[in-house]
Amino acid sequence: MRITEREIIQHLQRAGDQYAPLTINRFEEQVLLPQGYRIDAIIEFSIQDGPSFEALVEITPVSTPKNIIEKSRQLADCLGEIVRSDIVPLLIAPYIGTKQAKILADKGISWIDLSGNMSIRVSNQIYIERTGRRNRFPDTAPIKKIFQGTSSLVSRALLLKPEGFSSLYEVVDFINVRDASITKSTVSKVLKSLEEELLINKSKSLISVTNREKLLEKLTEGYLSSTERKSRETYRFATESTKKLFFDFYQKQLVYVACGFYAAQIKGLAVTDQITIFVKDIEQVRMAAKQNWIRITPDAEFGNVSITEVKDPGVWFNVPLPMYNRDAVVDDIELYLEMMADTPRGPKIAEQLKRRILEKSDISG
Amino acid sequence: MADLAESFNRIRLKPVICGGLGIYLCFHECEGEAQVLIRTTNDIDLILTKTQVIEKARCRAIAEIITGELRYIVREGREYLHFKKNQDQYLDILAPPIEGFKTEGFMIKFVNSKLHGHITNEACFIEEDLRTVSLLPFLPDNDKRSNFEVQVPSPTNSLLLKLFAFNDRSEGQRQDSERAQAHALDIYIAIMLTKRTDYLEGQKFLSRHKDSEIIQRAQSIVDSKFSSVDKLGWQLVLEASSFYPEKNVRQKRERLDDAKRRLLRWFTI
Repeated sequence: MRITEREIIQHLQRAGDQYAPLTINRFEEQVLLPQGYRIDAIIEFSIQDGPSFEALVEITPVSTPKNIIEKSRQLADCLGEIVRSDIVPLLIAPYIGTKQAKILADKGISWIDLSGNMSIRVSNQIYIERTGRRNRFPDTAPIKKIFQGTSSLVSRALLLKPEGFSSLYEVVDFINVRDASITKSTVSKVLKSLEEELLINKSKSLISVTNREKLLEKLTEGYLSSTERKSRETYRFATESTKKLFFDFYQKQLVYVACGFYAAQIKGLAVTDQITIFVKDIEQVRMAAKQNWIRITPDAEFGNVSITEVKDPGVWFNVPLPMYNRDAVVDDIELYLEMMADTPRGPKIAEQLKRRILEKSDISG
Repeated sequence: MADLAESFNRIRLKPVICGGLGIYLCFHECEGEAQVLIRTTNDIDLILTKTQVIEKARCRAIAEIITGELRYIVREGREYLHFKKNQDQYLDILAPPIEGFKTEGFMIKFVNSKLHGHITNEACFIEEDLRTVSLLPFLPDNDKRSNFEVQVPSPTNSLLLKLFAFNDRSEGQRQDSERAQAHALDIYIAIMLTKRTDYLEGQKFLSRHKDSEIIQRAQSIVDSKFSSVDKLGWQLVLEASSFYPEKNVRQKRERLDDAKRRLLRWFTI
C-alpha cells in the first residue's frame, strides 16, 4: 500500500537522528502564504552546533519524474512570491531515485527522503549530500511492469509508429491487429505511467514518444529483468534439413517464430548453425515429432534446433504470417531485446537493430 | 603469431596451433554461453606434423624461421623444445610420434641442436580433420596484411590433447593443480562450443580409430575424471575463479552437468 502525505509527515517527525547532523526545530503544516498559495509545510531545521534555516516544503507520496517536475514548479512559484532569499525550497518523498535527484538538482531544489537520503543546499553556507540508501518504500516506486508482458506492447507500438497515435483507441487497434490482445484499460494505464515517466507527450489529438531511444532503453531494462524470460525452458532437437523442418511446421500448422541468432541470420545480421525457434506449445511439437509428422528427433546434447515454449505476447507481436517459402521471424524490436540479453555476441547485432528501429517508420518489423 | 603464419605460409605450410591458443582460434566464433570463458594467450604451442617435416629441407627451413627470421631464443634447460621472444612470448614445439628421426626420451630431433619437438603420443591423428583459420579478423585495422592462415586441430583432437594434458597434471609426479584446472576449463569450453556437425565428424573419427590405444585411454580418462560433476575434472572447473563468477553454485553445477553429458556422449562410440 502506498504511504500517505500524513504518514510521510509522521515518519519525518519520528525520524530522530536519522538525518543527523540535521534536526527539526519547528514543523508547521498546511501553511497559507500571504499571496494565497498553500504549501504543505514550513520546517525549521538546524545543524548541530551550527546555523539553522527555514524550508518551504512540498510532500509527494509518489515520486515519478512528472510529479517531481510539478512539485518543483509549485515550489518555484511559491518561492517567487516570497521575498526572502534565506528560505530553502525542499521536497520530501518516501524515496528519491537517481533520475529524480538529477531533476531536482537541475532545478536547485533540496530534498529529503524517508529512506535516509538527502541533498540540502542553503546558499553557500550548508551543503549536505547523502545518497545510496535503498528504497524502504518500494510500493511508492512508479509501476515497473509496463515494459514487460502485454503492457510492453504499448511501448513497442509507440516505437513502431514514430508519428504517434491520434487516440488511445488507435493504439489498441494497432496492437490487436498485430496478433496480440490488449484492452483499452491496460493501454490507458500504461500510457498514464509512460506520461508520468515523461516518456510520452499526450495531447487531445496526439500521443507521441518524447525520446525514442530512452523508451527503447526502458523496454530493454524490463526485458532483461523479466522473470518469465529467465524461467523459459529450451529443448534441443536434431534435424538434417531446416527447409523440410519448416515446411513440416507450416503443413502441420504448428505455431512458431524464428528467434535469436537464427532470426538475426534471416534478417542478414549474423551467421549461425543453430536454429532457434519459439513455439506456443512444446507438447504439440513433441507429439508431432513422435508421430513423425515433423522431421526432428530429440537430442539434448548436440541438437541443432533449440525450441523454447513462450507465452510472452511480445514475442508473437507484429510477426508476419509464415508461408510455405517464408519463415515466421520475430520483429526487429523483439530481436533487439533478445540480442541485448545474449552476451557476448548479441549486443553487437543489437546495435545494428537499434539504428534500424530508431531510424525507420516502417511498421513491417 | 601473424609473423609465424606469414613465414610458414611463405614456404607453403600452415602452422598447426594447439594448446589454449588453438582452442581460442578454433572456437572464438562459435555460439554459446561458454564463449565468455574463452581467453587468448601469448603462448604458442606449435605442433609439427608428419607432412610438414617429411623433407629434411623443410625441417631446416622451419628451424630457420623460428630461430633466424623470427629471432626466437632457445630457453635454457629446455633446449630446442621451448623458445622465447621478448619478455612474454613463448613458443613450445610438439610433435606426434614420427618415424625416421632420432629420439631421446620424450624428444624428437628434427634438426640437431636447433629444433626438437616434445613427442605427444595423443597427437598421432592430428592431421585428420585439421581446421584452417584465417588470421585476418585478429589483425589490427592498420595491419591487414595478406590473408595469413594457421591450422588448428579438430575439436576431437583438441579434446584428446586436453584430456591427456589434464591427466598428466592431475596426478603423479607432474601433478600441478593450477595447470590441471586450466586444462579442465579448456575441456569445458571446447565441449560446450562444439556444434552438431563437429559431433558427427567426431563420431566418424572415433569410429575409424576405436581400436587405438589412445582413444581407449581417452575414454578411460573421461570415465575416471569427468563422468560425474563430482569427479576431479569438473570439480576443478567449479573451483576456477573465472568460471562464470556471476553465477551461484547450483547454476555452475547445472552447466557442468551439461558439459558432462556432452563429453560422455562424444566419447561413446
